[in-house]
Amino acid sequence: MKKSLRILAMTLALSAAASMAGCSGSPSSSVSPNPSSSSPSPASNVNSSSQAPVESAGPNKVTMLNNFYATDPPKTDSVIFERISQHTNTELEITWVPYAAYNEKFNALLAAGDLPQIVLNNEGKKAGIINAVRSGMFWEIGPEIQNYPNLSQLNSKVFDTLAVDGKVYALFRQRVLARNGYIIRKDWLDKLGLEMPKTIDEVYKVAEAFTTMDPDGNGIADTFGVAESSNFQVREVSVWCGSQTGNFMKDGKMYPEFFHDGYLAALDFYRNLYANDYINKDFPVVKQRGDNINNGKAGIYFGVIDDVNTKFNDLYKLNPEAELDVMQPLYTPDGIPVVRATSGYNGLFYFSKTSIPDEAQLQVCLRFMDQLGDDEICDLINFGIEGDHYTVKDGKAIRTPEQISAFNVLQNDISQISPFGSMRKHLVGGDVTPIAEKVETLFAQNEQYAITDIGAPFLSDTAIKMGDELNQIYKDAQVKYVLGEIDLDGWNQAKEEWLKAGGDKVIEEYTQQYSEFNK
Amino acid sequence: MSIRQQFAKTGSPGSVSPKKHPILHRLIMDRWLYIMLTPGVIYFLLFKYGPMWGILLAFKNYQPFLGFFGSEWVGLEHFERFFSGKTFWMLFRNTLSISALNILLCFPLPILVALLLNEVQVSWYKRMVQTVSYVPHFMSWVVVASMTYILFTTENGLVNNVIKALGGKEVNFLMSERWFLPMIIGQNIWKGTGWGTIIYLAALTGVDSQLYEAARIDGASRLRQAISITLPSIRPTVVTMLILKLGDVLDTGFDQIYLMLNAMNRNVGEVFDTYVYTTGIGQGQFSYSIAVNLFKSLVGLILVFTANAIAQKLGEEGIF
Amino acid sequence: MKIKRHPGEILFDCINYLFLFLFAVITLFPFLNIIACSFATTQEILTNPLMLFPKEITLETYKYIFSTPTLVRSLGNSVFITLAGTAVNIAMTTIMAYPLAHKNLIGRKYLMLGITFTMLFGGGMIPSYLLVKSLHLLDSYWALVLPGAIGTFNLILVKNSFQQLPDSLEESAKIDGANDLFIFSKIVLPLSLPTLATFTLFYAVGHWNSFMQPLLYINDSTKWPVQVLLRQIVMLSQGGLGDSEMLDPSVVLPAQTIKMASIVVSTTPILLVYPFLQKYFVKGVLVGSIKG
Repeated sequence: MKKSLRILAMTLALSAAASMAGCSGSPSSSVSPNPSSSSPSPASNVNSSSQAPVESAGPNKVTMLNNFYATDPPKTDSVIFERISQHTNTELEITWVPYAAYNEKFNALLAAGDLPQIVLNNEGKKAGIINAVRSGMFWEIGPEIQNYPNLSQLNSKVFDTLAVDGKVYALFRQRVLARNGYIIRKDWLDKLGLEMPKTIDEVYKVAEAFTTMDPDGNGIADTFGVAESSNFQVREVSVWCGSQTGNFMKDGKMYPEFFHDGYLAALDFYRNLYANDYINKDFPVVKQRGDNINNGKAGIYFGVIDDVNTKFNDLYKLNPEAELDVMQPLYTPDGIPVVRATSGYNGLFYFSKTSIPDEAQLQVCLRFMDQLGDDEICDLINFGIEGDHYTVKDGKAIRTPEQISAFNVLQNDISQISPFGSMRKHLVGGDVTPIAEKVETLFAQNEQYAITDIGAPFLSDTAIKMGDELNQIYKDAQVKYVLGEIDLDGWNQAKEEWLKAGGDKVIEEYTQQYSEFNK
Repeated sequence: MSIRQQFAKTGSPGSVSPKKHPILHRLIMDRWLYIMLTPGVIYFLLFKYGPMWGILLAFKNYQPFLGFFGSEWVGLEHFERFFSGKTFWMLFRNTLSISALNILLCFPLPILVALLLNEVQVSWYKRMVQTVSYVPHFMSWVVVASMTYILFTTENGLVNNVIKALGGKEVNFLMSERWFLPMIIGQNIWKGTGWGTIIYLAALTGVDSQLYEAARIDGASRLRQAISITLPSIRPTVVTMLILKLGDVLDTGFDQIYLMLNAMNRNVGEVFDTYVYTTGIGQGQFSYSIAVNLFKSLVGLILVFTANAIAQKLGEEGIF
Repeated sequence: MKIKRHPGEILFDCINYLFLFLFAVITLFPFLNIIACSFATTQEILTNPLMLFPKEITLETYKYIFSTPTLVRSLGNSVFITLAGTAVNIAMTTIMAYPLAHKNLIGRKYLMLGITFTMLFGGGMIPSYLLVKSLHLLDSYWALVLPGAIGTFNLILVKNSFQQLPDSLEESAKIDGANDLFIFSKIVLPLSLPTLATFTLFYAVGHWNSFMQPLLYINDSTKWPVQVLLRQIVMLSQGGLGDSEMLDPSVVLPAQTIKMASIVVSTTPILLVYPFLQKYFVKGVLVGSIKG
C-alpha cells in the first residue's frame, strides 16, 4: 500500500515539476507585463498606473492594446521604442495581438472588463463597442483635443463622424481620404492601342477588349477584363455612376446608397460584365481579387490605388515585363470627377475607464498620443534612425535597399500605435518608385473630389442592433442580380424586404438625426 | 502476503461490520477509489462548474463595464427574439440537415474503414494507410476551403476541367444550393474519416485473438468472423460515440460553414453557429449569442438522455 | 498451420487493398501538394497550383521563415505545452476514470450525471477568462494546461474502456490483497496501453492545434505556440479579412510560399506522434493475464 502511494505521489509530483520547470520563466501573471517590454530607462518610479502628475516624477506609464500584421510583433526593446520612450518620457507597455485574431481578443478582453488604457478598435460602429461606450466604459475626449498641438490638427470633420450621442470618445488613425480608383495592365492597353479609360463606360469597353482581343499576345483566349472577389466593388463603381458614398438624401429622407439609381447602374455594369464573361465568373467565392491579376489573367482591378505598391509583386515575378498603372479620379456621366472617400481613418483609439483611474492619467495618455505627432517621432516611425536607416539630402530621406529591409525588420508595425500613421511626415521619402510617387500625388490632388458619407456622423439604434442581418438581405440580392439569377423586379423586391425587416426604421433614425444636426 | 498483513494491521475494513452499516462499509472498502476521484472532482467543480454562472448571462443584457450584477435582467427576451425571427426555422432546418447527414454518412465510415483496415494482413501496409489517412485532420478549415476552391471552381478548377474533358457541362459546385450539402459532407468525410478510425482500431486491439483462432478452427469464413467477433467487440464503443455525437447535434462548427457560405447557398447553408457569429459576436451582443448556445445545449441534452435510455433498453452500457 | 483461402477471400483482399490505397491517396494528396508548394517559387504556384512536385525547387522560403527565431521558438512552445499538457491530461483523466468504471460505486450515477452535464453546458468564454484571471494564471502556461485538464468526452470513453476489462482481474488481485490504487497503477494501466496511447494522441493533438486559448490567455508573444502564428500567416495571405481599404498602405501580405512552408513546419511534428505511439496499439495484450 505504501509503495503504490509513493509511486502515485512521485508520478504526480514529476508531472507537476515538469510543468513548473517550463513556467519558471514566466513572470508573475497578475499584471501582464513582459520584462522585455519595459523601456531601459533607469528603474525609477516604476509603479503601474502611476498617479504621477505629468512631467517631473520619472517616466509615466502607458499601456496599450494594438494589432500587428507581420508574423512577429514589433520588438519592444528595439531602439525605436527606446527613442519614443525617451522623447515622451513614458514607459510604454503594449499588448500586441495578431491582426487575424484581433477582434476576438478585443471582445474577450472587453467582455471581461480587462482592457489596457489605450485600446485600438477596428469595428467602427458595431453594437459591442457602441454599447460599451454607452455603458460608460470609456473616457470622453472630445473637449480635450484642442489642448494638444498635434491632435488638434487632425481633421475635425472625421471627429464629427465618430461622435456617439454627440460626444467624441476616440482618437482615430488617420488615413487618406481619396484612395479609390482602378489599377490596370498598362502594357495590355499599349499593346491594344487603347487609352486609359476615364469613365465607367470606357472601362467596360476596355474590359471587353481585354477579354476578346488577346492582350497578352499568346494566341490563347485566357485573359479577361475585371478581377473581382466576393467583396466586389460595386459601391466604388456606383460613385462613378453618379451615386453617393454611403447615404444620400431623397425626398427629405436619408436613404442608404443601394437605393440610388447610380448604384443600380453599377450593378448593371457588373451584370453585363458577367453575362459576357468579361469578369471571373466565380467571383462570389474568390477571397482575394488580386490573385487574378497576379496570375496574369485579368487586367483591371478596382480598389485602393496604393495597392499597386504592395499587392502585385507576384505578378512581376511571373512576368517582369508587366506594367501597372493607376487612375484616379474617374468621371461620372455628367463629367464630374469623383472619388469614393474612405472613412478617413483605420482604427479608433479608445481610453478605458477601467485602467485609467482619473483625469490625470487620461492627460498622460493623451499627451503621449499627441507627442507621437512630433517631427522626430514621425521620422522615427516612417523612416527609422537617421544614419542607420536613412540619410538626409535636400530635405528628403534617402534609403538604400539594405537600409529599407533593416528598418522593416525593426519597424514591422510600429506605426500602428500612432494616430498620425504614415500620413504625417516631417521628412519626405526621396527614393520612391515613379508609380508610388504618382499615387501620392493623386492622393493629394484628388482629395477635393472625394465624396464623403453624409450619414457617417449618425447612429441608428436599429442599425447597431441588427445592421449586419439586414444588410445580408441586399448583399445577397445584389450578387444574385449580377449573376442573372434575379432580375430588376427581384432587386426591387429585395429593397422592399430590407425596408420591411427594419430598414425603414434605420432610415427614420438617420433622417431624424440628420435634420437635428443641420438645424 | 505482506500487503494483506498490512491491511489487517490498520484494520479498517474489519472494524466496521458489513451487516450493521452496509453503506459505510462499502464507502470504506472503496476509500481508495474516492481518494482517486478527488482531484478530478475538484477540477470539475472549479473549472467546469465555477464558470457556470455564465449561463445566466443569457437572461441578462450583459455589459462588461457594468459587470454581472450591474447588467439588467431581461428574462426571456433574447429567446423570444431568437425564436420569432423568420430565420429561426431556416436555421433549424439547415443545421439539422447537416447534422443528420453527418451522423448518417460521416459517422459510419470510420467504423467501416476501421474494419477494413483490421482485415489487412500486411502490417506495414496497414500502418502506412492509417498514418496517412489522418493527415487531413490537421489541415485547418481555412486551408481546406482554399483547396476546395482550387479543385471545384468553375474557372479552371480541376474537377470541372475533367468533367469538360469527358464531354460534360461544367457544374457550379461552389455557388449553388444543391451542391452545398454534398460539398460540406464531402469535406467532413475527407477530413474526419481517417482520424475517426483511431478510436475504433484501438478498441479492436482489445479483442482476444484466441476467439479468432477458435472460430477459424471451427471453419468460420473471414466474413463470418468479422460479423460475429469483430463487430460485437466494438459495439460498446460505437454506441458510446453515437450518444456523445448526439449531444453535439446542433453544433456544425463555425469555420467550415462560414468559409463556404455565399449569396447563392446561404438559404441552405446558414446555420446557428454562423448566424450567432453575424448577430452575436460580429455585433458584440454577448448575451444573445450565449442565449442561442444555451438553446443548442438544451436540445443536445435532451437527445443525449434519450439516446442513452434507448441504448440501455437495448442492453448496452450507456454513459451513466 | 496453413489455412486454405477461398478465392472469394482473395478477391476481397484485392479490392480492400485497392480501396484503402485510393483512400490513402485522396487523404494525402493535398498535403503533398502543400509540401511541394513550399519548395516551389511563387510563379509556379500561380501557374500550377495543384503540383505534386515543383519543377524548380527553391529553399528560399524555408531560409526566410527560419531566419528569425520566432517560428522555432513558437514550435518549442507548442512542444512544451503539448508534452506538459498531455501528461496532466492523462494523469487526471485515467485516475478519475478508473473509480467511475466501478459500477457498484456509491454515488457513481450522480457523478456521471454531473460530468455529462458539463459536456453540454458551459459558462462560456467570459466567466472562464475571469476565473483564470482570478487564479492569477494569466500569461502563464498553466492557463493552457489546467482549465482543460479533463476532457469530458475523453473521460467517458476511457471509463468505458476500463469497464471492458474482465472483473476477474480485479477480483483475483483483491484476493491477493491488493488495494485499488495498486490495481490501477500496476494492473489496469499496463493492460490499457492501447487506450492510453489513443487518448495521449487525442489530447496531444488537441493541445497542438489550439490557438484560441493561447490567444486569449497569453499576452507575451514569445510564449505563443505555433498555431497563433500560423493563423496570422494563413489568414493574411488568403485575404479572409475583407476590405483592403482597411489595411494600411504599407502592409505587405505574406506570399503563398510562406503560407505553405509554415503549414508544413507546424503540422509535421504532430504527425510524427502517431507512428511513435503505434507500437502500443498491440493486439491481444489480454492473453495470458488471467491465467497468470
